[in-house]
Amino acid sequence: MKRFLIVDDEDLCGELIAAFLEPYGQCDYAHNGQEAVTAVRLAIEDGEPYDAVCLDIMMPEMDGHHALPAIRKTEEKLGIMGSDGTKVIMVTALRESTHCIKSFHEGCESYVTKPVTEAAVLEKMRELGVIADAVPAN
Amino acid sequence: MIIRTTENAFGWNRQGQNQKRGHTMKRIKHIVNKGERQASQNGAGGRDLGKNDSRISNSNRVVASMSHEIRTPMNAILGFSGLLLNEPLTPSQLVKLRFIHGAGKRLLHLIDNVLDFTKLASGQYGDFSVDFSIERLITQCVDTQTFTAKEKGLAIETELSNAVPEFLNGDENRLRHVLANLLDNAVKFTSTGTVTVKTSLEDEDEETALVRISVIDTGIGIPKERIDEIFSSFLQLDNDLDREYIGVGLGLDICKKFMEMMGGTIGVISVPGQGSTFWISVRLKKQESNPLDGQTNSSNQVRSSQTSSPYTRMPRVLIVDDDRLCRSISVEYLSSSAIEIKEACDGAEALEILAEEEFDLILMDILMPGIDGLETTRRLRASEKSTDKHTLVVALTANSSPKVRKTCLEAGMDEFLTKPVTPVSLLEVVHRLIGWPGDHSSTKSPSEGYENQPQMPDMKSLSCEDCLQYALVALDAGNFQQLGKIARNIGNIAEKDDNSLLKDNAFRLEMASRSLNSARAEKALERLYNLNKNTVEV
Repeated sequence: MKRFLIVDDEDLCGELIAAFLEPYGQCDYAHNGQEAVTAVRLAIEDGEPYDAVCLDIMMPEMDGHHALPAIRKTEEKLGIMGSDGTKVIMVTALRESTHCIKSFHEGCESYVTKPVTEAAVLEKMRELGVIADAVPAN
Repeated sequence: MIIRTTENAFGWNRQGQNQKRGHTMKRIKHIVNKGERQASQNGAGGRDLGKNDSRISNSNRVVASMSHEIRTPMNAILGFSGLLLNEPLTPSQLVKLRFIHGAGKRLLHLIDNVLDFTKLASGQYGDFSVDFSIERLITQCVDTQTFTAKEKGLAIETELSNAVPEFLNGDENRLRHVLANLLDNAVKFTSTGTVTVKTSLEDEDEETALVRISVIDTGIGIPKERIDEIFSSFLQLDNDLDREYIGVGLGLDICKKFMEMMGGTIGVISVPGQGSTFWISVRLKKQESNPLDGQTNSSNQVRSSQTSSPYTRMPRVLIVDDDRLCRSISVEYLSSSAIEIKEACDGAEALEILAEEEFDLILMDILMPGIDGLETTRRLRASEKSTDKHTLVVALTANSSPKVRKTCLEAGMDEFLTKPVTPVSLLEVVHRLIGWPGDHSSTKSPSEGYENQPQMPDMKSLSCEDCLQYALVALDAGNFQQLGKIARNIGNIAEKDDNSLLKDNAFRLEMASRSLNSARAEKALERLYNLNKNTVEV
């Protein structure tokens, strides 16, 4: 069972991504960047870090551009470096390349724009080696 | 995402993107004024309109016609998802369908407002003065909100002043739109307390009356520095406040324009944390007789009456079924209503619970191991004999033959439902028997309130220990929504006490409740118990 963290202030968007990923593992939800950072930290502390984080950019309190570096910093503090870290896929309505480039600078692994499709999310997850090709049996 | 689309569809933000808010607003004002002017002067003063403005005017027309086009597929989405909601579904299907239906309704609401705004901007709104009854207008507006309010445990009260003439002449449609918007907001942003609609007479002469209608809520209120923006926040949905108030900006902006067009005014008095009073004031012509020719019987009623909901607590329903899945489906169907639900897995457990607690209604399966539904009902009726109580019992059975029906009624049951039950039939029977005011079933589908969940007890005053007790109950009942709220509350307490360990574990519990993970929730709750014990001992 993989562990996913879905970060979106819109429950609807989060639930949709969760519906795509649920056959592959268990999804947790955070509603802003701050919650995401805490969730990532607690998951590492509990010894079951997230395999992937789907991170929205436009969110109240702390947005995705602030959350992403904070997540990387948290991982670093807890001794997780580079490719050992959780895979972060930005899932956002922002289509401008500046946001995309910025996100990769901040340390994301992939970038998907909304409206998201099941195929797009699963393809990115496969590319990053988070999930295998076939749906696991139970 | 919707917001960006709207801006672009209007075509005015491309140039205004980097401008300050003030400029943007001026620009809208300009467009609106321009629209009105164009309508009245038929293109006069074209010199200052310029090329850009005619392009905007075109795009307004495009948006107006587009909005109608959008409504057609929206209609199909809402219509068919609404129909599906009435069919037997698995809980998981129901949840997904509710998302679709809820999102559809939100989108439609937005489109309606965009349409109003463009119509306004292109000067398509003329003057539509009619004779109307102000009392009826208010009652109708209140009625449309009763269901949602009830779900949230809110009361809507009306206080109509005797001084205000009942029959008036004015733009009833616009008034209705404004009042509906204000009421909608009041209900949306109030979680506990009351929403009151009040009328008063400000001024009067031979022919006209200056009427003030106030919508008073006990909601979150609006910070002082934001009040001006509330009425003109159409393009400001980006920032945090407006995210919270999403949907308000558009609506209130239009309300203000409507009031201005009627020669009236709109305003708000607000104390953050205590509530807001939105008021409108407009001069209307007096009308001697009832324009509705006796269509309404309200003229015979005592005025200044209070039409508040008689419910002082949530109705309670006991679901008795040996099949866990059947129980959970009934729970799922009823969860859209503000009903407190308890479950029993057989007749013996039901009787035990009934000896201790009072319920308004029991959903009773007939075929159960041990004491069956019929026998349970008989015993219940026997125990009620000495008192004047009569708990309503609805039989749930797969067999609908007249014989079974007769046996059920003879056993003392009140109503009869055949399995598989649909959300509509279940809600209809439950609501009819419990006797909710303003019967919703005739005008609204039960899906109307799915976004609103039953109201939770106020937890702000509870101690951490109390919260943990409640959390355990919620976890046992599988009520993750409540569990999440309790966890959030513990988190707030921990934040105040600067207890980061407690806060972390409260967050663990909240995350577990969000993902409906009972194993993880249990673990987090256990940790919280231990942490709390330690701090108490220290």
